[in-house]
Amino acid sequence: MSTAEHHVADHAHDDHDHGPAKGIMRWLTTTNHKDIGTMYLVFALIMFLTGGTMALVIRAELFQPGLQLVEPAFFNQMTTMHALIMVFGAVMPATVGLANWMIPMMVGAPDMALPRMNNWSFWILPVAFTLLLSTLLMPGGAPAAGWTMYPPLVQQTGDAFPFMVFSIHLMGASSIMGAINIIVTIMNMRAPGMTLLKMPLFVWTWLITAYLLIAVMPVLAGGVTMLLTDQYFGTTFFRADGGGDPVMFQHIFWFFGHPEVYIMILPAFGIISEIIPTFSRKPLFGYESMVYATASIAFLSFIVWAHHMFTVGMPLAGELFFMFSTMLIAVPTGVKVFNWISTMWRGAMTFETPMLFSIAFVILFTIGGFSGLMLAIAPADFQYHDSYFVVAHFHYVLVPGAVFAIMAGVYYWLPKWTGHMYSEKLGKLHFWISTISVNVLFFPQHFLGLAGMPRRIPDYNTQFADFNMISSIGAFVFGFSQLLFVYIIWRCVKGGEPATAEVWESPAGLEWTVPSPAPYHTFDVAPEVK
Amino acid sequence: MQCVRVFEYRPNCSLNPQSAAIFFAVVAVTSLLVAAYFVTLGLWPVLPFAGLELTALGAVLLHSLRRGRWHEIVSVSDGRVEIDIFTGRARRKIGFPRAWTQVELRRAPISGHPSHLFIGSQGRFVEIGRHLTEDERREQEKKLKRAIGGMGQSPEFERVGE
Repeated sequence: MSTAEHHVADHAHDDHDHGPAKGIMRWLTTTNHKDIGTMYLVFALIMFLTGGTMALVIRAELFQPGLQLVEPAFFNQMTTMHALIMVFGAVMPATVGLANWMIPMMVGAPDMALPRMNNWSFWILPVAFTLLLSTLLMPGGAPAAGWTMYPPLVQQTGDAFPFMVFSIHLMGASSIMGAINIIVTIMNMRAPGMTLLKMPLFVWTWLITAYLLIAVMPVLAGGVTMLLTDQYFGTTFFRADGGGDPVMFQHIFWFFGHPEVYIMILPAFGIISEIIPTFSRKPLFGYESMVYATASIAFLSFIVWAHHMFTVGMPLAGELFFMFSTMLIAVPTGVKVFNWISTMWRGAMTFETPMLFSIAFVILFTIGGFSGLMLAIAPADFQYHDSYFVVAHFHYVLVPGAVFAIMAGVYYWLPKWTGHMYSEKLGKLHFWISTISVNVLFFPQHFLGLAGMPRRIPDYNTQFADFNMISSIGAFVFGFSQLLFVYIIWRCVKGGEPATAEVWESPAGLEWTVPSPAPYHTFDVAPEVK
Repeated sequence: MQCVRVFEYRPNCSLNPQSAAIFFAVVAVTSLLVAAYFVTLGLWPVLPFAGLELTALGAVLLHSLRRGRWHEIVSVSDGRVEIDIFTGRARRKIGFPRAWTQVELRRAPISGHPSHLFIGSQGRFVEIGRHLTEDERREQEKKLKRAIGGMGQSPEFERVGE
């Protein structure tokens, strides 16, 4: 007679400690995916408030025509730093934080595949942003040539220039390590039975996002390195006086920059695809088509970059190609919007805060998508280019798009993380103030752009005064309403009504099978997925 | 009849070498095509970054696959404790007399680092369960101790005693 005891366990855990250590060392040395996820999210929130403060400086200056508060040079530093911080410091780390928290739980893994690298990829970020923010105190001030860093303008940056390049390298390294970790976790650590087409949509969208990151990050790294060598080592990649071509930098930047937009928005699609089925009490409509649509968007993101530079001068065939390829993106995106709406159709819907943010996402992201389609029309873009219409477009995609999805995700999973329910009343208040103010903030910018107001200017013609004032009022209300978000999170962390394991009514996914708060080590034995 | 208890420690590894190779190829082809395009335009510094990144991805996938092949079997029979350790193609087999076998969970000298689970006797020990979590290792220590019994305890001995 023999008895066999088969123990199935994860393979990446030799560096796990015995539960959380105490004090600061817990956070410095932790390899636990939940701790690291929390750190990413807290860091993203701090950066969101920092970048938001810079946005308020911009909107305060634009409250009235004329120069009121800041010098034009500082205004340009604010626009540049606001963008760099929001893109690389707030949205990307927030989605990585959500990935860290949720992906291992969703695929039935006890942790990320490479826990030490996970710790490292987080701790690079505060260093990178300390470097970047320190440039505000340097001679010549912070970078002021826009987040696109076009030469030769960017090469007029003062002492801040190499610091900016180095901090971008660090952010890139952090993103790459994060992406590799996520890929290996998803590919190699799925629970038995968790086939690729059984993975939650959030996991799928992150897998494709990580793939995009790996494909485009070397382009950004190469681009900023060439800027550096042009500046200090006598190369002439982008210097016309040495036979180089500054327009090539625009191509290289947008070859990275456009997929970067999807790097920010695809995880948001994943979050929304988790939330809408839960609160519609129906499975996601068209799961497989969602996966294929995500992959199609990722593929198309590689062949649309020049729509950012229609006015730079390119052959007619090029303009047509990039115009049509850009319009093509509306097809898989339309599939997604259709599927979200079809999921809600005749569902037993309830409107808790995550669902409210998700519905707002679907509507407002679609508005951003439509203005994107308008910008895709090359002859029309000649009019809209570098106007406030562009500012309105990308803010609709990124704020009520990506940021609202992240907020929806935070409200959705917060009870799982903390073990407490947040205040639904305050959550709904936060939602309504944010949603109304974000539209007051960005919708008038469409009109400003169509009327001809250029972007990145601290002063403007008096004909733009009214809409700018309305936009600034919206900005201040939106900005300060985020303090309510911070308070809601803080209150939920401190206490509140205990959350059950499921939290919501019959949500789908392995993360809802573990108690709330999720144990420090989630799965001792890999769960079997039927 | 001899009673044998088998403890099998096998990491959960959902990736096989073939799908890892396909996945790596898809990523590498995309990344290298992009880099090659920029090289043709004279922007060669993109290539080393792409190479660096793919090397990192490849190394991590390989590392993950290798650890996935790690496989340990502890068989506790009446008189013997046999340990088979499979690391990829290599196989290591060690046996100890059950009556003299000890299970030890040694704490790491540095606080916060993982402990190590050893089985052995008479000064010869072998480490097992390196891929387990700390909680799992502690649980397995108890289970193995229960299955093997204390020093001098062994069904074989007991039968001789009868």
